[in-house]
Amino acid sequence: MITRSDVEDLYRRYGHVVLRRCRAILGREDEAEDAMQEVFIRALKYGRGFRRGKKPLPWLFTIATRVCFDRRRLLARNVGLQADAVAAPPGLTPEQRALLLQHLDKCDPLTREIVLCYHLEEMTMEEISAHVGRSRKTVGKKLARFKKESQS
Amino acid sequence: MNTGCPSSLKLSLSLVDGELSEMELADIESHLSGCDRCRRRLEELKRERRDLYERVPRLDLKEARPRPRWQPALAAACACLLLAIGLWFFWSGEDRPGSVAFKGEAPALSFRVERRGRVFAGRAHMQLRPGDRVRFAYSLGEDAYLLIVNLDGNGKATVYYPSGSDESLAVRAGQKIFLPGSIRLDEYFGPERIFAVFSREPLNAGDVESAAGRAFSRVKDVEKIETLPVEGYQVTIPITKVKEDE
Repeated sequence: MITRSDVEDLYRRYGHVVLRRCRAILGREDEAEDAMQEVFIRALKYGRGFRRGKKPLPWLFTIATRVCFDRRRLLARNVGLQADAVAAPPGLTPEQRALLLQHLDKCDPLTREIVLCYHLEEMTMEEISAHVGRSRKTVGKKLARFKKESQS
Repeated sequence: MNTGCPSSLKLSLSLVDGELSEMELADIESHLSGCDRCRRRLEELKRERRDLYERVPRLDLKEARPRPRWQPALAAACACLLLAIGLWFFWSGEDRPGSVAFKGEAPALSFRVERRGRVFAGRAHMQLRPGDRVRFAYSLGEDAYLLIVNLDGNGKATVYYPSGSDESLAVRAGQKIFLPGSIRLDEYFGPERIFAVFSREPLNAGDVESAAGRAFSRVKDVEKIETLPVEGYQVTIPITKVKEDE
């Protein structure tokens, strides 16, 4: 079972990377920092996905994505908190990013992770394949399907 | 990004000991020697990382505990106990200061801080600086009245919300709703406490300020005051104001 000191160690190692992910999805510095804290709190509360000896980043990213999409829905209901204060990631305009996230809201967790890694983290297909533990072919198929569905 | 440039994630992970292999680190190193843009990206990532750990050196994990795998019988026993306590409170009808209950999740207060154009989340025991702008948000399960008061280490109470009104204002139920306007922090240095009082009836701002003063005169230590002697559900956030270079 995960312990408090495991989570503190995870924060020291990956806090900045998780914060970047939260910022990329939420587009607001203050919300991103709150979300990052929630990610580690959830990691401690629901630590079943944590495996000693395995790379914990994909697991932390899965939690981060879930936390951020929950928060996006909450923010969308609160008038005045929808404006994005942080610049969109390279290669995407703020409008493109908003559209991308809107489509991702309806996707399964694996597709979300693959699309976020590709568009927001600028990872190559090989890197994504290693990160999510699926073949390059599966990654390519998921990306192509997402592209097709978001354009329809 | 050029095709050969490493991803931001990879650059970020190169800052974490033992995360990338020797070969990956050597590839990044050799790429950086010929790519100004990536060198700038790495510097930016280093700065972001340093800023984060300066601002939030440790997480506040007090409220989170690993979820135990409860046996159903134990869960049922706890549920019965909670029900009994709930019924006891309901029937006793006892009203003490700070004992008002609201539907749904407990009322909560949070804040964000703007410092020289940067906005970040506020948290308990945070070190704030004169000139910081603080904006409050509340979460509440049902409509109520809200008043926010600050008590400094000299026992001086100042109403932060509502500004320009003699009594607490009605607020609607909702999650993380930001209040209008922000507070610019003054030059007082030392420990302070912010109290949010959620009540069913409007409270007089002057009465709450006096109550805060009375609470302080009893213990003479703002850090020891958890509730004010006024009717309402109270949330308190301790903060410390420090000088610019601390």
